[in-house]
Amino acid sequence: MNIRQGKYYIKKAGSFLAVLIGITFLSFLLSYLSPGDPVEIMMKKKGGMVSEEVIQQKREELGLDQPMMIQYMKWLSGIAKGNFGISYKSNKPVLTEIKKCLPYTIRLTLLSMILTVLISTPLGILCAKYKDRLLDHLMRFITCIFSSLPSFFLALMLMYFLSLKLKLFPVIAKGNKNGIVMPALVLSLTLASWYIRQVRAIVLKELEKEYIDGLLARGVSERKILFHHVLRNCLTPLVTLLGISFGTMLGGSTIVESIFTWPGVGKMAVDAITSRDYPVIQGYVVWMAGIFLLLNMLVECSYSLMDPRIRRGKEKME
Amino acid sequence: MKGWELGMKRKIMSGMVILIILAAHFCRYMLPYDPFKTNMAEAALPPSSSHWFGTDNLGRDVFSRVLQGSQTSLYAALCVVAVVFLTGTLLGVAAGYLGGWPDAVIGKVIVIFQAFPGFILAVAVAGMLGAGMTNGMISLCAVYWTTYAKLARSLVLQMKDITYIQAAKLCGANRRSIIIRYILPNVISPLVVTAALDVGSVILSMAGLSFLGLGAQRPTAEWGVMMSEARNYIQTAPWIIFFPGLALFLVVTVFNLFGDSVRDGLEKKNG
Amino acid sequence: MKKRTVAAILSLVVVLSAGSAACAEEGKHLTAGATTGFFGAESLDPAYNWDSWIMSIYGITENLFRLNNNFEPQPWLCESWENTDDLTWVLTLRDDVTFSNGNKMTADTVKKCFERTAEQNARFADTVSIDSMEADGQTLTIKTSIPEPTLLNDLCDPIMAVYDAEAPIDEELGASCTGPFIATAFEAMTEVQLKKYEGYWGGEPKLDTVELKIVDDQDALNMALQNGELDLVAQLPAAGTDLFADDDNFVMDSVTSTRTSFLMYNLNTPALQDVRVRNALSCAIDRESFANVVFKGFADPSYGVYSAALPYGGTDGLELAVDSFDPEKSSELLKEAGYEDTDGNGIVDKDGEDLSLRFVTYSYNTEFLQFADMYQAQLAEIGVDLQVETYDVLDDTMASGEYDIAGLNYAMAPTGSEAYFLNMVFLPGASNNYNGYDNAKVDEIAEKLATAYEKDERNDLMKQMEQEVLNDGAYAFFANQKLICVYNKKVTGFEINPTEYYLITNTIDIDE
Repeated sequence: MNIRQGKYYIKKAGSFLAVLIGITFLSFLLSYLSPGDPVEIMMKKKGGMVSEEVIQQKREELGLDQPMMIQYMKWLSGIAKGNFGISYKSNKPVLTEIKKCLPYTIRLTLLSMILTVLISTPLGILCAKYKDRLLDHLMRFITCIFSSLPSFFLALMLMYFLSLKLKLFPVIAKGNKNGIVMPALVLSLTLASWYIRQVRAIVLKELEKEYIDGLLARGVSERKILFHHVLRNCLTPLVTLLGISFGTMLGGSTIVESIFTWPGVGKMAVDAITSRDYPVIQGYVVWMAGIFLLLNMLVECSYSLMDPRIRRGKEKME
Repeated sequence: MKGWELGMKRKIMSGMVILIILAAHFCRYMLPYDPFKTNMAEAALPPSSSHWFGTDNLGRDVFSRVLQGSQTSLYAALCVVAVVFLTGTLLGVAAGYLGGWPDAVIGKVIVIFQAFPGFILAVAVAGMLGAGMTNGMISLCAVYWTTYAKLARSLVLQMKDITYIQAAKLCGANRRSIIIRYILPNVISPLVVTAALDVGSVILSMAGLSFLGLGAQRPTAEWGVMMSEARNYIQTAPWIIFFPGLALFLVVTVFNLFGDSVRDGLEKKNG
Repeated sequence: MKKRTVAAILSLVVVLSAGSAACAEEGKHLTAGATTGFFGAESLDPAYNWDSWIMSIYGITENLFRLNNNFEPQPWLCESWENTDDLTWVLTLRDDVTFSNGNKMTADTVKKCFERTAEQNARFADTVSIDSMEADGQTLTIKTSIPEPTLLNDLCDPIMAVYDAEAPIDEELGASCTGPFIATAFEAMTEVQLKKYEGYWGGEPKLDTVELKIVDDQDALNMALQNGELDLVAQLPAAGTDLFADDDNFVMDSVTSTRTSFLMYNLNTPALQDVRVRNALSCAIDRESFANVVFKGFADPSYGVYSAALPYGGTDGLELAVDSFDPEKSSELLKEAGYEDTDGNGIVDKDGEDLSLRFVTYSYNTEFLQFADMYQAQLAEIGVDLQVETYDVLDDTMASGEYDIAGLNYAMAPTGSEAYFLNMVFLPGASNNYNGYDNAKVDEIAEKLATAYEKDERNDLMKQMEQEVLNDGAYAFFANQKLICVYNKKVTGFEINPTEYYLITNTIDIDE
């Protein structure tokens, strides 16, 4: 790695950190602006009446009577040490709760991601190959349906038909064999419909390039060109798309996890909102944004590694 | 696709969009029943000639509620899109044109907002502020404004160096007139396309929030809320959940296709 | 290379989708499901919050006494008892009971257990005022600091659950208790795994393992039962009863509980200080429709105070100010009270003020949400405007007094004890007296009740109290709800109990 490259990565890390701090500030601001009084909620959860003095005392104890910026700095330094506060509801550290739920969400999103790629890449390529033919029109119709269908409606319909009528998959995802399949299917079907179109567009663009004619002239089979040469060249834009859609997946997991009772962070957040468990919501938002940010950075780094042209181009622009 | 075909498609889609908006706006003159009036003697009746979409678990006419819901959902979505379109464009143009520290600040804020996965930001904002239609709309604004700001900013940056803008500057035109007369007309169409494409997605997100209990609250006739309420009757009275779902699906499809046709038209125009 | 990639991706898919707990246990296995409200314990420490209640449902903890279907306490871990004077109770405990860790249950272990719970949970002292306890072999002598005529009922409250307080309490699996089942895995609000306790004193449990699923989506619970994923669903909401009522593969049991839906009128609201207005509002509740349509008949319309399931409940011998759904009477009462629609806006008014009221209720109670929609529409017909607001934590709002009418759902006598609801709601200064209700006669009756040991005398006092409450019209009790459990017909030996304290027992069996 030369010095220029080193500088480039240091700069990236710097901006990553700045955005991360911005994220924490926004998350803090949200709960600071939220209407409920955390101390009252916390105390009343334990039952019985609480006197105003006790509340005031607790507030001082938690430092909630201090100016906003000081509270924020305290909270931030806690986070830096891995202390995301204590859940009002379970009285356990927020980090413990997140650590418990996160593996489930990661498993779900990974599987959905793979399913999305498995469904959409071949279909997208085929659509490009048979452009404006029956298959293309049919797929356009189908993708149009799935991209307009609310995911919760799709989830309920799948539950009704696949679980209840056909008995293929269990209704309760957690602790059941194949339980993860339906939530993953819902997440990936919605995303795949968007993805198919993107793949189709990318492949069409690639097919216009001159080297295709060269390959055809050399007698390379059409199939080999499509699934070997074209696919390889489409990899970079596809990876970028994956990075972006990861955020959509995480967002979609809130609804899907709640419907299928999958104990991931999405369900955790929805439950926390219902019981006004602000530290958990805060921790969840920071974590999700952090993961999403990190992933996008990795994606960016990965293709600047894959393709030096991009990196140089960027440096010039900056 | 041939040019006239595209134009035809756009005309059809625009017509349908206008039809939907008119239906939503004037729905109160078309309601066969009061959408809020419960009638326990007629609870959960299947679709018939007197109740086209059947009645719900409290005997309310589903057709009337779906129609009333079109107003709630559409107004909310259009309102969100209008707000983010205006604020986003304004901030983006300001950042791009002014440069310097305003650009730096707005740019960073955009990056921070975009660092959150969209729906998660919406859920968090709505969850923190407390459930309700207005808070739901605020949370969606927080998600969608960045697209416009970012796009407007980059468009203005491209425009700034174009010769005729420079010429106008040399001729002594002031900042405001340059922005209004020269820059805005040229950046506005990609932004309008984005807005057209966003309506469907905003309607879906709003319904999603309401379904989670974070958006509209009952007994508001809003499709997400209606479907959430009807979940327990999916087997015994499926029409209660099916028709709001169908309406939601159709309206989002129309808006998505409309957005596509607007975009295709613009691409065609720009060659 | 290509083939290898494909193989790698496929194996990754298989790994990711493999079930985590594919339980193929030997022996008899039952899977039951319910929502958080019924099944959701936060820990397995009986002294923590309300967890002993849920642990009692799980079949892990037991009490010295158990309520039968008529809410009468029956000896359970206790063999016999004697009330030697107003303050002294001598209990003889069973000699054959062991905790799941093998330790024997003696009077001393129970004493230590009560002491620990009392120290950790304020509800213990709210339930009984114990002055001192003495343990001698299997004899436990309890001295109360004030007369406690309902001590035996109170001993049925899961807060008085018996566990081994001397053994360390496991972080995950909690305390060692005497019940027929032992937890083997516990994930709060998600899943609990149980296995039978072979040394259970009441006879070896017929089931080998039990799995409990906590699912908040009722629709998913119903489908999972239909699907065969679950064998039993507890506390089924009425909306789902249609699915199972005519299906031979399922058995549906129901029993009237003490759970009652009622309205609390805020007496600090000027308009509601007039009893005629309150009665007008009570008359506008369509109790029959609510019970028959929303509850699908799994609730009884109520015009009295307590559920008819209780010896002092029902409307017998009471004079009712409101005895039917009568919107015309409501309108008349409002007119008498001076409310008329003078400005023609569809809402009645008095002194230039529209009668517009703030109605608050639980955001998660589907039946009450339906009631709110229904009541709002009904009141609109008699010209009363109702603004509905829903809350997850209703008590905060109630305590702040920012409401006019509250829709509440309470178990009014969970242990059968008469004083429970009275002391919690009706008395001035009571923990849940959120509407400022204050009637000296009711207070007087409560005082008499505190020292009355005779059953008939207690019932008589209760009837007098109910009459006072009905005369004041500060509440409208409108539906007594039934507890519904549905199970696959393979399940046998299940017995439904109106208290909501018990579910999993040693007698439940399943045919493979």
